[in-house]
Amino acid sequence: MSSDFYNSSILPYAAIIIKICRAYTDTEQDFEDYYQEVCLQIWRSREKFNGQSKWSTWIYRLSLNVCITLFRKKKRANEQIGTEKLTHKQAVSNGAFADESLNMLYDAIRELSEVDKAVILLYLEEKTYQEIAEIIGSNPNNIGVRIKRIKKRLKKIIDGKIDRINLEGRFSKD
Amino acid sequence: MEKSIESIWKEGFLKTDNLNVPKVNNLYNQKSIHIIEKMKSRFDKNLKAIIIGAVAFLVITFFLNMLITGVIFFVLLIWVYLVNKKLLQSATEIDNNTNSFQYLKAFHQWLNQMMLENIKLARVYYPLFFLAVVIGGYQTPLSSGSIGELVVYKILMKYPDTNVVFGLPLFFVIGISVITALLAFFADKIYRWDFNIVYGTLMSKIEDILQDMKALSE
Repeated sequence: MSSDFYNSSILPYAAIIIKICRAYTDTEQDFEDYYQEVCLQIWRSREKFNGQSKWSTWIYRLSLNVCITLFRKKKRANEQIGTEKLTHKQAVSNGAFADESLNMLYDAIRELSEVDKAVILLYLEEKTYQEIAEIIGSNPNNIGVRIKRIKKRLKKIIDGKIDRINLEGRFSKD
Repeated sequence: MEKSIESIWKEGFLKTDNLNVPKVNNLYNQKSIHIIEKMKSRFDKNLKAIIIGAVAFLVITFFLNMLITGVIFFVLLIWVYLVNKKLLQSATEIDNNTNSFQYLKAFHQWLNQMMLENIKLARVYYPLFFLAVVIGGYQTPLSSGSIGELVVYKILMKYPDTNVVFGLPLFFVIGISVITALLAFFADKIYRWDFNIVYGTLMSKIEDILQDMKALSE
């Protein structure tokens, strides 16, 4: 890859790619693989960009398409820690972001379906319903209803996690 | 949860002023880990192996005096090669520049097309491969004549009243015909079973996502 292209056309938008890749991966290794794959696909598809949408919107679309269809077996996390799933504590301690609430939100987003992940990520990135519908290929009228449902689900997941932490804290004090 | 998810997101990223961007080294020469790319590359390797196998088998059967078997295998393998080469070409037309629904639909259609085209082929090549093996076995040369001739001779010597069709015992012809017909009849099921072992999980995952996306687009 020409480092010029990476520096000028991908790096300024790295935050978008990182935000999306983090939602679709559980481990650092997978995250790096996904990030690299998205960059590779952007570079390979760059000539297909026809300027009809903004470059950033195009990056959202391509990143989501790549992440939704990477279909990698989620093995590594289990192999590394030898358990079925990352527990909350481990996930937070491996948290990618400085803010713990954000890590917790990401943990919750990871529990959503592939499509719901995409919808909520675009919503949180302040895309309009029309833009979300265009990127995913859906009906804008349904996006609002779906977002409400996803937010409810996220709240439930996060509240559950907080309750578990509080309970664990109480037990460890006792 | 006190804060809304919108404010967790906003404030969280404000606190994380420096996102750790992974290092990207020599990306241009990296192999893609994407399923479509991996399938294309696997397909490409398989096609090369088919060509090498077809030629090698033709040469080997020539030296073993089983050229008919070799020619049947060669023709069938080249046919499989040509059909799948065309399918591989159509995979390159899957455009990741479209929206997610279209992209996934195109990929799903390609997988389906690959399965259906190969089922059509399997209906012909499963029975023909079997017949080629039988012919090859029959023709395997001995010091005088062939294995087939020797077996038929021994059967006829032991059971002289055996009905004979085209110089072969009738039960022999019936047995081969039944197996050939069964292979043609079950080719669909055999190929689907084989396909499902390799791509079953992938197909069902794609179908789940597509169903979810369809619900959003209606």
